[in-house]
Amino acid sequence: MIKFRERAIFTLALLAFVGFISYFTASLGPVARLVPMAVAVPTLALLIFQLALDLLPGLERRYGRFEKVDLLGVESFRKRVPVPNLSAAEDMKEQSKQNPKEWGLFLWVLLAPGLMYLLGLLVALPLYVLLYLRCRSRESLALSLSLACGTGLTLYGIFALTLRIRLFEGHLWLWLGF
Amino acid sequence: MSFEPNVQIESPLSKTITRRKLLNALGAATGAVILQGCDRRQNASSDAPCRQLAGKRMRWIVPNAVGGGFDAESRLIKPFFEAKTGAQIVIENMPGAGGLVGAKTIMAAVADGLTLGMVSAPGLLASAFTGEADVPMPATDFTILGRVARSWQVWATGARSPFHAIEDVLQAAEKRPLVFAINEVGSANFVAITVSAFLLGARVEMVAGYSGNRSASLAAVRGEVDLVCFNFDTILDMIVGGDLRPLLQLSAERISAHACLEGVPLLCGEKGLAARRAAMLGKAIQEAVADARGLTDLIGAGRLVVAPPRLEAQLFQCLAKYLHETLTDPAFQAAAARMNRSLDPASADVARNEILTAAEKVKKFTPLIRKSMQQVRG
Amino acid sequence: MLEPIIQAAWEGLRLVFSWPNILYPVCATLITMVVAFLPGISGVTIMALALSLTFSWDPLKIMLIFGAFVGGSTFMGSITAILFNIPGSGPSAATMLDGYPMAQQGRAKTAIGCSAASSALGSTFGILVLILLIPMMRQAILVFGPPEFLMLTVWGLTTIAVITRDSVVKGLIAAGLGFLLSFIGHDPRTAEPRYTFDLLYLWDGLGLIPPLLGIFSIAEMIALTVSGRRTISGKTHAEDLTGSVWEGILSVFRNFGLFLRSSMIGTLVGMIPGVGGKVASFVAYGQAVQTSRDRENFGRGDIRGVIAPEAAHDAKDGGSLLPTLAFGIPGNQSTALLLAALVLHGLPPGKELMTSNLPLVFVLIWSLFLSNWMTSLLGVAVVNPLARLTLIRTQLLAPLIFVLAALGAFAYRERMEDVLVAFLFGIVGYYMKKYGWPRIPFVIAFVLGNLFETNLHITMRLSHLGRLAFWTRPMVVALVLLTGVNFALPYLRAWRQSSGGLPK
Repeated sequence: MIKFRERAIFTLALLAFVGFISYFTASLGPVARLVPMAVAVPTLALLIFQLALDLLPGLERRYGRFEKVDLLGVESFRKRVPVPNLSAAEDMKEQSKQNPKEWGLFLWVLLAPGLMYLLGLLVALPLYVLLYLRCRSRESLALSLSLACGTGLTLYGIFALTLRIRLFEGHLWLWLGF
Repeated sequence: MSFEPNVQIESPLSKTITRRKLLNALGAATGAVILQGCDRRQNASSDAPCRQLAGKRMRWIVPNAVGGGFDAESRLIKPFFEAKTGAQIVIENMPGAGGLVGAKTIMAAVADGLTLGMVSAPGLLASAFTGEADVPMPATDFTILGRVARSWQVWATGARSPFHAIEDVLQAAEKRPLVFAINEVGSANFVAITVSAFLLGARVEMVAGYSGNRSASLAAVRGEVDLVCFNFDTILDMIVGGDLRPLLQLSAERISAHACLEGVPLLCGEKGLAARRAAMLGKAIQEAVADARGLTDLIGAGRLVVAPPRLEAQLFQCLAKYLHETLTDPAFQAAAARMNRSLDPASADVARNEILTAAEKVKKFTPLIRKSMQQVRG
Repeated sequence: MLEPIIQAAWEGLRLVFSWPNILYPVCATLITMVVAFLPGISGVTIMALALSLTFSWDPLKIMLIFGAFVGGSTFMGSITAILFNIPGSGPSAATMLDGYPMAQQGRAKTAIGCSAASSALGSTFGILVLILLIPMMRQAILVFGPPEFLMLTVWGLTTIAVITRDSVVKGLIAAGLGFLLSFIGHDPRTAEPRYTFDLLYLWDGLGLIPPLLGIFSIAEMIALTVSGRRTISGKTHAEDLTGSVWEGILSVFRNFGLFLRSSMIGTLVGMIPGVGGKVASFVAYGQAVQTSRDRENFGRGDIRGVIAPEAAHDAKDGGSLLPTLAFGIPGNQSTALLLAALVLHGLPPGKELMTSNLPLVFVLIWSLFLSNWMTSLLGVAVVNPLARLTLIRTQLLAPLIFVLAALGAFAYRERMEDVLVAFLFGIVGYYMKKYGWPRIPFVIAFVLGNLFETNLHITMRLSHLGRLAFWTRPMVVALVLLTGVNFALPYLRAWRQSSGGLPK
């Protein structure tokens, strides 16, 4: 019986990606496709197996131990030693179940390159800091403005003036004719 | 003023000055002044488009990373060119895709004289062989302002190689293919080897993938390959250090006065190796000479300073003039010599004509190059 | 033969530590420390700038500052790796494996102290080996060719098997993905475009830094924000931070055998042009895991997981100078710029540099030594304020980290596309973390994939042409044996255990 689990979507996405790459690999010349095919085909096979494990609990119960196959015999004499503190990874596994706000955060994450593309680094990044701190983190205006200004000054002082890295100027200004 | 011919005027400055002579002299002087004024106005008017660049920010695109050959030459040119134009030059390094990123940026820029840059003509011309779409052509997709330097290539072998002269190489080539180390199939280097080997009647096998000409040269030093074919300037230190031995100059004249090229034969010319091999192999000698010349025109097409296409005529003229003055300035040349940069400047017209000639001649090699690439690609 | 070297070494030492020459490496180190602390901005950025500003300087000053640039950036990149899981450069990624979990446990001071000590001592080891090998550096470099490079990448790739403990299937898939992404660009043998989709951006492949920044730094910050964890360390007060700098420093001496092995690996692997910098840290980490009896805590804050990559990472600086000075072949980006500086100032690498200009070479070496120690000592001096960065609230830190990651991705090649790639990888990296997909195999395969394929092609081609016989090369055989021993070690141990040789 197929049980839909969220993690299967990720596996499916990876499978689609590798399938897409394999399709294009087949159209390359014989020399150029040799090594990529040698990697893509087994990766595809493993992805299909992993997808099956993700979707079929019965299969996972029967064959899930292969996920933890001790390929090199590395774990054969493994001792269990308690870890002193929980790491954030383990925290996260527990807490992400109660905090399904990933999609909102992804929008914020992708806002950064979006603003950079439109407004350029010098304007976008301080603006992003201000918007994030004020709207998402709900910090005080004073703190948000200070950090935003600090970001702008650091950007200009270190990157533009000192390191002379040409900061991307943003397409919006070009479109507006500036 | 009225003319009274033959009236003699006594003067302490001259024995006899006739009025006519005086008037003629005055007229001549006045004319000279007027003409000089016209000339100045003429120069001023021809430089006027460039004067509008004064105080403005000029982008100078360099198609490789900081420290590379193009970058070094650009930074050498910068202060001299700034003095001429009055513009503030900002050098932008745009490495990537074998120089194409920088080349395409120049090509796409507005032709207002505020974006210039350098491109490698042999690299772009060689890319035409690969049939890669969208590779800009130096002569038609840019406004060429002048040439800074040329690159001449040599065949070289490792110091421990059994080849001590080109004759040894050609003798070995009769029994088996020669093995060359190269960076990339389809590069100017690949083209040089394919065509020169064809002219000498030698079969070649190329081992591609080395990460730079130094790594490939080490392959020759280690004896993994028979030969390499690279720009003489870039492997000179390995030749001087005794790691490599030059065997053939891909040129019609001696590339450099350096002692290491003493006795190293030339490919081109009526008495060049291509002609002699053609005679030996019963091929058309003049055709071989012409082909060899075509090859050296291609690989010696050099590093060009270019602007976007369709640059306005007067702007082009003054920028080209300033560039030529910069490149022929003794102070500039002395600075280049101190940095071990060998120059071979040429004006815009000369550079453009050479590129057009090279582009024409390379068409003949296209089937040979594509066949060679096909063999490699399988 | 040794006397000219000793004389040149002494002359170089005198030149570096005299007044006012000492000012140059000190200032260069301080500048590099500040700049290299910013993620994605390594010493390479400051070296590129310096190259353009110092055209008219004399060679002595160039050597003084460039030696400091090379040495000053590695440790600072490790600090951001430890504190924020942001690699300062590719090799710093290995330090993150255990350094960041230590910071999450409130043991950032210990991690930084350990990193500082490993870094300084590792670079000293690398420099000593460099000096000892000077008389025979050219022969040492010529021993390594494509077959040896191939075996080194294989050795590096075997660490994937060691690191993927919890889910081998996912680890192998992640490695496969890393490989496939490393093939973007052009086929090394035929120059045929692969997966470029006619985009100029993809002609040279995906750069190393944007995916790394995304898959670790951005992903980690997303995970931290989603988890609701208040700070990186989970602590809110400085008093709650445990560990100390001295504990970290002493741990290097307590694990001195591991330190020595890792330094040797770093120096040896660093000598390999192009390969070295990327492989050294991961290979050292892998051998630390493989050669340890108790390896349960690797990846969870085991201090040995910091000692090994840090020692290798800094030891490689000495090793990577060998091909640069002997043949003008840079081992990594920073030595490439060093090489450019040498050539532009009339000091082409090779025999002449190593004979007539040997004192200048030693100026470079001593400057590198001084800057490494200076960086470590200063890093230790500011460890308390640095450790307190792990107490900053996540809600405050997240946008700043995103901004730094964006800047680091942009500064890498000044391409906006790199920023987008970094953020997309950030989302992918988050899901990898969430669903238990190991990221390190992906990184190792991505870093080494192209090198592996290139050297495989060259080796096969040369074998086909009869130009080399793979199994008759001593270094290849040695590397094959080494890889085999690394694999066999766990079985050997298990066999000895079961026959009563080792305590359980």
